Amino acid sequence: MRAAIFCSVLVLAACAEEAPPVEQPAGPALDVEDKGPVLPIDHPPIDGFGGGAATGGGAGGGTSSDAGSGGGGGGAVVITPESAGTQRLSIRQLALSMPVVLGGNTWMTNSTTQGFTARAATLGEPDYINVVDENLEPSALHLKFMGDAARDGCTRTANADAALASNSRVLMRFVGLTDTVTSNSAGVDANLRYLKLRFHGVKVATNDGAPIAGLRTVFDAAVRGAAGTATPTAAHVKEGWRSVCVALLTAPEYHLY
Amino acid sequence: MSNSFVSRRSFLEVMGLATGGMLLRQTPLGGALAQTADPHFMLMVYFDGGWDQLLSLDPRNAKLAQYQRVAGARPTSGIEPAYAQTAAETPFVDTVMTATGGTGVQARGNLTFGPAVPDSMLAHSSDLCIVRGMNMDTLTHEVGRRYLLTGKFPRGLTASGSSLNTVVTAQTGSRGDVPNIAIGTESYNEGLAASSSAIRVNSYRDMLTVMQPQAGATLPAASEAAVRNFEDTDDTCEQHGYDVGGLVGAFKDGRNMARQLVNPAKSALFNFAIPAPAALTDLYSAFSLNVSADLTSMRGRAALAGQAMVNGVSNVVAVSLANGLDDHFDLFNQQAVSQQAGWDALGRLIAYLKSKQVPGTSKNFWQCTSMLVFSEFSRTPMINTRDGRDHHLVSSCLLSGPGIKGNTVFGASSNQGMQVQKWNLNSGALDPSGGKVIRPADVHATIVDSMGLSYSHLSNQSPNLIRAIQR
Repeated sequence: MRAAIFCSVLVLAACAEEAPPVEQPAGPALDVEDKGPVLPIDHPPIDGFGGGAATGGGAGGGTSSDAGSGGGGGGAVVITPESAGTQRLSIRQLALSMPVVLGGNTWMTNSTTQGFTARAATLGEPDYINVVDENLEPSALHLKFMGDAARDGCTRTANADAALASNSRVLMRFVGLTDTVTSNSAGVDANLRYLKLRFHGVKVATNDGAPIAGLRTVFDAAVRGAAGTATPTAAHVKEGWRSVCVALLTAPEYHLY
Repeated sequence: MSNSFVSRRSFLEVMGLATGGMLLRQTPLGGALAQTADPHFMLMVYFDGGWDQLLSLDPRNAKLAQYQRVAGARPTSGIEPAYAQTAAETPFVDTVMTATGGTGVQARGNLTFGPAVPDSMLAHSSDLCIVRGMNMDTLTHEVGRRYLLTGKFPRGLTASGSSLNTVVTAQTGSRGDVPNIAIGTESYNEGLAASSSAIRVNSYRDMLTVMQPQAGATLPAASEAAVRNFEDTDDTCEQHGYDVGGLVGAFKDGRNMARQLVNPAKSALFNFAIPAPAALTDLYSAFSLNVSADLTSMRGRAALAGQAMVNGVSNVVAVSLANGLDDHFDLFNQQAVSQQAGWDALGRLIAYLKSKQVPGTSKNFWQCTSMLVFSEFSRTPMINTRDGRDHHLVSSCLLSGPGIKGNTVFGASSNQGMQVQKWNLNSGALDPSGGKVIRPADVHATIVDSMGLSYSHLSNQSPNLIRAIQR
């Protein structure tokens, strides 16, 4: 009897007229207003359009609520763009990028053989015969060879720099060949900011010393280590910039994107 | 329930304990608890190209009529060992044929081997377990290879999951300068610590390159210290931005491990040269390394593996010990020669591991080593019209280890066309109605479980443990 009543209630409930749907409040509408051409955050200006710091008023006409659009945004709110995921540079990308960063120099395993060619199979670069895809894991083996690449490439670059005019140098663009932290602190910092931008694509503001503090320590320690108690010479200073170059090339900022 | 011989309370208690035990076993903690005090070593050996198992792990008596051609007609069994043709082109197979009275089957204890397995390998048969009749589910080289490397069926051609050597390294902890080394073979890491990834090398030359800094590319001590200090302390906003999925953390782990790789003093262990350096004469003798070509041969690879394992450089080694097995044409020479070279190299490696005692224990390295020997699939039991063999789904593999029964054969391919059969995984009996077909995932789970480790990484493959071969 109890079961029959329960079944009846179920049947009645199933046959009851469906309640009218409750009207949902309208959600935020998609803003489709044309705001003109847009550049990524902090992109250098092109033909007078865009540019400027993310916290400054860009030329793109952004408002405080949508800073980031309009060539560098505007207002005080900084919206970090969402990432589609990060990955490691492939061997091909590294082989192509290193000469650009090092002013034409690259990793060599001897006087005639490029490291990225000589170690291609060991590093797992696809040959599309036996290997058709590349493992982009930042493995110990990969990073061991990247350490070799950085040390060799930076040695070549530092040696080449010594013979170039200042405006053609790669590692010592804004300093003299004997400038140290003690003798030209401002010049060293300017050069470190330039190298941070050149190697990592990161702009460091003139009044912000924190992002280059570690690099300054590397430079200073390497110069002091090379010079010992003597007055640093060009060779000692070159050792400092070579070490900074290695530190920049072995950093995650260079290898990941 | 009150009049049952098992009370409701005791039933629930037992079920609770059993469930808890099963769950615990599937966790890394359970695996760790199950580990013995002895160190774990792992050896994965790959025969590249798809082996003819009739020549090695799944032979047939060539004297029986069903395996012979009669007046040009195909063998009635659909299986053609063709040992006589192989013997005609391969002297060592001819020797085996004579020694076995024309059967070609070499019996050792409960095991039987084909004529391409040399004495150096047969000597270890009491420690070995052959699993026959394994269904590979693919006839594509890359798929079969990656299936047996990871125990998980690949996504297209792309490996799914981590290689067994990586899983074992991750679960047992990274030990040694190069905890996991892959010699001439692929290795994968999906989601495990970067420190458990294999270092891939092809020969001793690569090993030297890995363990030594590049000549002329070193920094003075003060500069090196400054760079390392920077690497250890640098923590920028950009790095936090890139650290999606822990990529920056993995990068830094890999960079730290790369420092450990560089060990010029230990690299001398791999400075293979002719004539033999004084410190390596024992190794050269064990692997019969006499001329330069030997150093990069399969025996040279096995020597590299052995040297890494017994000197505390690597606990886990994956090594390819045969190639050129993909014989669709004129199989009668090269297949047997390549397999024999691989089995000989492996036999010497096992003997070498037996000859060296694990520091701090009373056991030799072999007694602490679990091993899986495999190929991506096998070759057709019938000779094709080009005197070769094509790809065949049903294959065999070889296992051993402290948790695996030696002198054991599990499963069999059928005597008609070498097809799969169903087996009771607990008893080892043929069970056509209720049994299971053996798959690579089952083999992986069984060997991992035999080491006291968790095989939960294989859960989406629904693996079945082959209890019949576990100690």
